[in-house]
Amino acid sequence: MPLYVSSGQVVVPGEPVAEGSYEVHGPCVVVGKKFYAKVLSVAIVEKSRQVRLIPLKRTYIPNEGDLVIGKVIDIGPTFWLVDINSPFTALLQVSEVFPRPAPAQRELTEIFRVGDLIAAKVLSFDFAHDPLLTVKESKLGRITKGLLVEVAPARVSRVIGRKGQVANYLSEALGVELIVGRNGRVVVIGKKPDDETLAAYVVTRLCEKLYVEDPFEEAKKLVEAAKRRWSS
Amino acid sequence: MTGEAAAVKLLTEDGKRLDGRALNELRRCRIEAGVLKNADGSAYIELGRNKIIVAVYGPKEVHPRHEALPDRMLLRCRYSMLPFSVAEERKSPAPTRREVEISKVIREALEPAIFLEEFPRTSVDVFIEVIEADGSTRVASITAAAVALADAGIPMRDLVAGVSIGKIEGKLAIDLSGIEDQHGEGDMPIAMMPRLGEVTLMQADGRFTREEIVQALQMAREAILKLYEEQKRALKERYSKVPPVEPGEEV
Amino acid sequence: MSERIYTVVPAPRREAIRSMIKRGERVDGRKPEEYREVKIEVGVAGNADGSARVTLGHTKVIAGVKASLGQPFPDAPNAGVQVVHAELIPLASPIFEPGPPDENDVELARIIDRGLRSAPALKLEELVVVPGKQVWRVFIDMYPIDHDGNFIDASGLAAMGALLSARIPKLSTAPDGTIVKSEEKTPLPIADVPVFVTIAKIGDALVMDPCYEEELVMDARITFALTKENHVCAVQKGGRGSFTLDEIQLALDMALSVAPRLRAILDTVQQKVNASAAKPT
Repeated sequence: MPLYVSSGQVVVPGEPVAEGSYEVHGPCVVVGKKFYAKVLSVAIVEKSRQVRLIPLKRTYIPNEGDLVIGKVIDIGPTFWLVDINSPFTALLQVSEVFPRPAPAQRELTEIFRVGDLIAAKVLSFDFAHDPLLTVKESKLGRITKGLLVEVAPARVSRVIGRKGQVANYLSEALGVELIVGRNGRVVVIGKKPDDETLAAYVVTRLCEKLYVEDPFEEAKKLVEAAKRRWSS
Repeated sequence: MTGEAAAVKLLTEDGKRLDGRALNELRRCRIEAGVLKNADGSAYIELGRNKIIVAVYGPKEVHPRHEALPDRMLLRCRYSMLPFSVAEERKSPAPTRREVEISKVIREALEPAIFLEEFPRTSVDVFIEVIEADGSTRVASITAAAVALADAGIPMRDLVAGVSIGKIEGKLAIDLSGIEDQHGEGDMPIAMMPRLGEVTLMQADGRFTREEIVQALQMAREAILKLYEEQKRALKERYSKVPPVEPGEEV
Repeated sequence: MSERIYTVVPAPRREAIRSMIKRGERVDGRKPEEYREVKIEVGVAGNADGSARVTLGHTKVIAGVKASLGQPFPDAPNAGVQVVHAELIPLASPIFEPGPPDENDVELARIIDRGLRSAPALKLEELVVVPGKQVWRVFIDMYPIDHDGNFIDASGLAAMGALLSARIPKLSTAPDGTIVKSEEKTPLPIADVPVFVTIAKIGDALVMDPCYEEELVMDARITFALTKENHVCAVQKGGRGSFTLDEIQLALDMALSVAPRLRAILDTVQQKVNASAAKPT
């Protein structure tokens, strides 16, 4: 029997998943023609002999180009240390804040203080060096208003959706601005606190389920349910 | 193990042990995964009267930083017995030499199963606290720790489970209780990766012939496969409360 | 000792050692089942009741035994006390740093203690002076002084050598009931002579008595303590690798094959010590 799991089944590390003509996606180990799960996951059996392993928990490991929401935790002579919800503390250097050399008199604390929330992009990361951030692009920098929602990094991509489909929809439907960090942090900014609370609720619920086949449909359902709940 | 040996009879006339078990019988084992909110992974095990809780934190940044390993994740283990966990007098909270050694062998029992190379310069900490002790705590701790590591999403090639094989009145027995460990003729804690069939922990004291060692390893393998079923059940049940799709449904 | 510094073996060297082993060659020219030359000298520390220095290849371990009268443990009132301690001191290697005993010191001491206790080496029940009140407490301290691998086996030999050659005062009771130590000496009561044999796993190969470089690249090790009758009285697997069931059997057979040679070395110690004791003074 080349398939050892059924759809929706939780598999433990080391458990055989499938063999031979099956294709297995997600964290797994291949020995010969046999696939074994590597982390605690849910197995989803898709058409055309594909099995997708979805990890139930995932630590955020930075990738170049990721948009992240970080918390400043310390200030060095020429840099800030930023917590990006990862085993690796990130570095934001002064040179990555200003387009040209900063005036020498500027105190670092006038720019970002310990405790500040910032939207930044990951410039580079390899396991030998700390992740480097930049805020030089537009829409990056200190976040001064809104509500911070923390969700599972493994599922935060649902809030963006295919080509930003979900994020755009949520923005319009709820009247909020969304900053979605790949590191499992989302900031919702609305004109009224109620809008922000509603949006936070939708984002949280969207990222709760272990597997969602169509995030866009799910988002629509959640928005309608939330609006009904809030208006009553 | 020595001391007032042979003063306590560990087998009844019909060959049963003091708690009614047969020689090759495991105590009742029950594992629960994900019992702590703060830890990244956790597990609670009851093996007979043993009660042990394990918390896993990681992968996370290594503190102090200079202890980080350049090419792999650092695994740290701390096995500790709570002062009221022992049957005898209160145990001092300070780490004993026994706890130091057990922490080391437990770490070395779990390491072979973990893909440490996937997260260089990070650490994963395993904290084991024995709440109630009744023999074979180190192998029960390993069985629970593997569940906690899996619960934390740590990448592993296999789980790890352990059992003690002992010698009672000249016969090999599975899963020694406290009194059997104290008054028996030998204790051999063994841990294995169940699917791969490899031994990751093995210790012994007492006296065993070569044939007894071979037989003990076989007995351990069978018992460990049973514990593996309970480990899988605990992990699957933890997440069965939030089913993503109907089981068996193809999407 | 404390803080063993994480020693990184350069990848090329590590690969070289491992591929050599696949061909059956070891870094120091030995065959996989070959044990290094062992030398033992007793009576090296004059103030100890017994002492021994063991040389195993370049590894050197010194062990001392000191016995004193004291109270028994409350849960064993009719037995003497055996305490085993070990420390990996900076003297022995640039990788050791000074500090309180760490897990490696503790593990080494406890492996030797278990092997000695289970054999049993010391007949603890014959070390009772006043039942429940006074017993001999025997302290065994092992200190590696030069590191080229396999402290376990070398320490075990040194501890046994120190025990076999130890002499404690004969005791008598004075008229007023106090215990008196005489000038006359007597050996410790010893039942069995356990030897410790360690096998390392490097890749798929098993090699006996690993040297330092082999310890740095090994995946795991397993130690067996064997009695005179070839019973296993202690086992310890160490290291971050694993063993198949077959490998454990193979390792045990390797240990059984070399145990007689190690015991013979301890037997000559015992003979020499008995001979010199019998000599008229």
